Amino acid sequence: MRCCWTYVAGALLGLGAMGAPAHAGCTGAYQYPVADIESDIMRSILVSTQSDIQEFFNFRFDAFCMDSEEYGAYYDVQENTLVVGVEFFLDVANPPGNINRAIAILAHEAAHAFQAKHGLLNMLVETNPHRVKCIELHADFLSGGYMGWRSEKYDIDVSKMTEMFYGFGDQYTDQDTHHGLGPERFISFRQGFLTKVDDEITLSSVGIAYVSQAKCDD
Amino acid sequence: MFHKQNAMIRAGFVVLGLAVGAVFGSSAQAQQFKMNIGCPTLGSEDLGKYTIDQLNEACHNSSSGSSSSSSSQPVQVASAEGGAALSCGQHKALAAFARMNPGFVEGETSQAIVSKYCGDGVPDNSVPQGSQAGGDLLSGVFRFERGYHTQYSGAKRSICQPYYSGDAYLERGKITFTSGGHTWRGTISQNSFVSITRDGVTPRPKNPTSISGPMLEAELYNGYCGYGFFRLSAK
Repeated sequence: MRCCWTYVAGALLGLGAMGAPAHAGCTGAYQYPVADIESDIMRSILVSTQSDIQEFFNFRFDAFCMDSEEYGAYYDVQENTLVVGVEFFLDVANPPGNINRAIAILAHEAAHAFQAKHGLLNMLVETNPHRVKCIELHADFLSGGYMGWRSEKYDIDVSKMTEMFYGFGDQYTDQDTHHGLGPERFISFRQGFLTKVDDEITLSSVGIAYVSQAKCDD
Repeated sequence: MFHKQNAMIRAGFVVLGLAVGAVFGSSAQAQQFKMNIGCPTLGSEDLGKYTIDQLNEACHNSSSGSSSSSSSQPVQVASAEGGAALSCGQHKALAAFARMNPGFVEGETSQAIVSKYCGDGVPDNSVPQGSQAGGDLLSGVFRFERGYHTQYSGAKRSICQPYYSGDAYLERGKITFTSGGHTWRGTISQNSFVSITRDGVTPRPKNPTSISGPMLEAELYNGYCGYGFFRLSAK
């Protein structure tokens, strides 16, 4: 089961990329561990981000993989693997000064891992279509919480990220796959960013309460 | 409906905010109260109509989405120290969670807020009664007063006194004071609700302990001493 953040249209952009050999833990044909990234800077950023995210959400991925064919990012529940497309990552992180936008997306996917660990993704299998939206908004909230925590160490421009999340909104409110309107994603991320609590469980609880305003059960 | 209701809430906040501004003698702070309540919440019925520029203006106090950093937005970041202004619906959810999970002490204050400030007639998407915008923006030394309503005798009287007072230190959403042999630490939210749980009291009390409600007239509770009052005022 994938819980993904992939541009449907954008997926077409990555088809021409050449694949790298698969490694243990990164089983896809075009996947490789972030530890194998050639660029020292990018490898350092992603390895340290993985460590930070695992510390914040209090869990470990089995693997954190780059994928040269994927245009997007997703968390593979069954493999417990975080996967991010190379081209997608670079597009989001550029122009220079936007690395935290890409990290916020990783945090969003890590939030899905957190949800899986704590049984929150089970809500996805229920029939109510808007459960998907609230799972996504809750992940936005958790991502914001992580970035807020990260902002204590780094200079982070929250408005760049809320603007990005706004752009990830969709208008397909009558479809099961609806992830939330742009403003809903903006607000959910921002609220998480502003919420300071002592642990990830409390953050999640506050996020569930906050997201419940989105009328997921209507 | 939302527009009208929101306008009424905003008007109330402006009036109350100005009142608080008068109490604390800062028109600049009162102005900040107005700015800080412009950002819509997830429960706003018209949220989907907001453009990115409108959201940046209302939530980041900026018409440009990429020109301001968190380090240059002390007001926005500072408001996080006390947490957001939770709606009655959110407090109800937290209170429900607290009932299921006794270890979730944060929900204890929500339970008190729901019972006292989110009664019949208060919509779930409204902030609790008694909300005033801007409490999280205050910094400095204020006077606190607290006490328990029940008059005790004997040894219990020395522990559960009817009146304590002293200095409370506020710093952008955080409150700290020492009283009764304990140091109390908690938060003040965007809607000026003070929230202190047992986890914020050092040494940690043996019984459930909380201060919750509007900072100018909050409720004190301790499992041993019972209910009481807590309030802040300008020095």
